Amino acid sequence: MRGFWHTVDAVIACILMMGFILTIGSQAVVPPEDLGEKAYSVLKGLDDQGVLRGYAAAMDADGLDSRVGIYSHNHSVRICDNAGSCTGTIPTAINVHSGNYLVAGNQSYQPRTVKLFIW
Amino acid sequence: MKGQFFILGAVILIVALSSGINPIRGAMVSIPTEDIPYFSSNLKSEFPRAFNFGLQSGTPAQTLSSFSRFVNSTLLEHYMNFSTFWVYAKGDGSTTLQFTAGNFLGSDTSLHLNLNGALKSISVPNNSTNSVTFTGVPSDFNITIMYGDESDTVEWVRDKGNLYCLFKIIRGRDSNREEFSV
Repeated sequence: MRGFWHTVDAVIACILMMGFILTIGSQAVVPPEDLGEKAYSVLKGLDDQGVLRGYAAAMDADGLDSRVGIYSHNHSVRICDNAGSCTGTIPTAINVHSGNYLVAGNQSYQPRTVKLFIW
Repeated sequence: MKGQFFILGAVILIVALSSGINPIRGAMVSIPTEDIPYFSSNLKSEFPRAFNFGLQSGTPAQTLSSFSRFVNSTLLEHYMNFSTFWVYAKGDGSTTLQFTAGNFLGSDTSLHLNLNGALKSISVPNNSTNSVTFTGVPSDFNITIMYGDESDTVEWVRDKGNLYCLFKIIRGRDSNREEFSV
């Protein structure tokens, strides 16, 4: 009978230790970064710098991607015109965020959709 | 020997209890991306650009219509409903001024224009444009643009390109409405 109560003591002690370890070891809740908003901000920034429209009009997705200054994540650019023709790649990774930017043209009317993928 | 069985029993009980406990890590809050405001801000600057490109090429109605359809098809890919109505006027140096309206609201509508008390009305079918002309237009004037439930008065200059535009973006219960004049 004494051994039974020793067993119960051991179980309770272990449960208390596990509870302590789980509580202390739990990570603080950090909201994930909104990469969709970041993607749009990057594209808007490139437009404000006068960089984006030239690449968009030329359908140069790789060139525009080389101007994207995001170094903590992978990224790619895809540019599509009014007829549905596109250049650039769509990533096959998981948890891919995207931002979209529409332009009416550069020196003339050449509507384009510019997508920046970040993962 | 009995003590070893008690230790084994304790281990079994602990494993049985801990297998049902979920580690408390906290909820990973994922805030849904609100992209409608970004599109609205984007389009508010691009519609005037499309208008300018149209003026450069001498085809403002066609250019604005094309851009309206382009935006509509693009936003549909993002499960958004896009609708727009615009009116523009471009002087040719005389006091005669033609107003052209484009209706991409999804249904036919009538446009009523009140220019300093002179009233003219035209029907503008959905997905198309229509025009009306005023004569004796002063160099600066107020124009009241009325269609459907909308009514707005803007101050325009005769001898330049003027554009009024309203667009709405809707996805589920989220929506945004922009109305501007340049």
